Amino acid sequence: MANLCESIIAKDIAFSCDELATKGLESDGIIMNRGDIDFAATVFDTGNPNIIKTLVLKTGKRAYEVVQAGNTPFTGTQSALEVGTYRNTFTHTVSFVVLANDPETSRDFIDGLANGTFVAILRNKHKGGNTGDGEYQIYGYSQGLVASEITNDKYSEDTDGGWLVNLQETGSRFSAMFLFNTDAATTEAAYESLKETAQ
Amino acid sequence: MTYQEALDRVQELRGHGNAPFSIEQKRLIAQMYPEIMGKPFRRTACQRCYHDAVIEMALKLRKEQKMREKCDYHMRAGFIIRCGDFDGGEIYTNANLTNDVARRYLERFPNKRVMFDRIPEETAETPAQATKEPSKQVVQPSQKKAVKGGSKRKKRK
Repeated sequence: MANLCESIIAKDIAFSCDELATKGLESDGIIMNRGDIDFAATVFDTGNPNIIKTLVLKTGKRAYEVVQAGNTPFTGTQSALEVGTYRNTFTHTVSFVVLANDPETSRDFIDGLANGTFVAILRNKHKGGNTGDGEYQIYGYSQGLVASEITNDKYSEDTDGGWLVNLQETGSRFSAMFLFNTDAATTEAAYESLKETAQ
Repeated sequence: MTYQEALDRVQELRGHGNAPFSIEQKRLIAQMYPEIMGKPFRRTACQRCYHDAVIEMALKLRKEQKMREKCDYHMRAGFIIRCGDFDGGEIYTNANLTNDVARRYLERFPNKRVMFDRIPEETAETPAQATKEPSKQVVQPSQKKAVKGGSKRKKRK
């Protein structure tokens, strides 16, 4: 059929006893301003558009670390199908708590979150088998994450009086995107380097 | 700071055990960390971040047996060097990048200069550019006249 993007499945659905899925996320991730990404320098995997091999920030910019406490970090983070009139897409939600409420946190983080557009990378506990290509999942690269909820409940048991933040990306054509380059060690080095800026 | 000075200070800090550090000691750790590790020290809300930093520095000094070489080059966030045909596929980040490695890499891959946000001035030109430029820049006065004359003759024609 002409003028239709290919939308088919191309893999058996089965599970490998060696690579059983594991639920959950590691307790740390990174978040960056979407405008700081050098999209022209992004390198996608030639065989799989859901994999980004190189994600580089503009000169002098860096990603910021988000560290969560507790046994279920980033609780509420999920991806879901969004049924459209002509085309179905995905909605990705990233949730985290900010266990602080002071002038610096408000100025440097919460106020910015309210109106900015972001990209986050969270580390899945499921690493993706021997290659490790499923660990670093990217949220917001396609459309950007924007705040859908930022709440400060003074008597919340979950946030201890801190902030609960929900960021959402709607209309993404990717069910999931991953950062992966060559092997786990190279990908880890690339991920860590996103947190650096010129000294 | 020499290697021995750094080692002595880190050993002294390690001897502190799990007891909280004083403000002076915290300041010292934050100051030493970038020099030894090649990356900025990040204070987090976690109570252990200073103790972890001391352990990291101790391990690094023991492994390297020397101070980290100061590097005048710096790569943009997210970019690392990892080529199968460069230094046998060794991974270089800003933490272990040296002037020698950066220089050799840029000589070999001059188009990757855009991935650096700090390059020393003396190497601001790529070797390829450097070989092209002199022919434009170094023009003797006598040659200039000849060139001018040549252009005039062309105009007359």
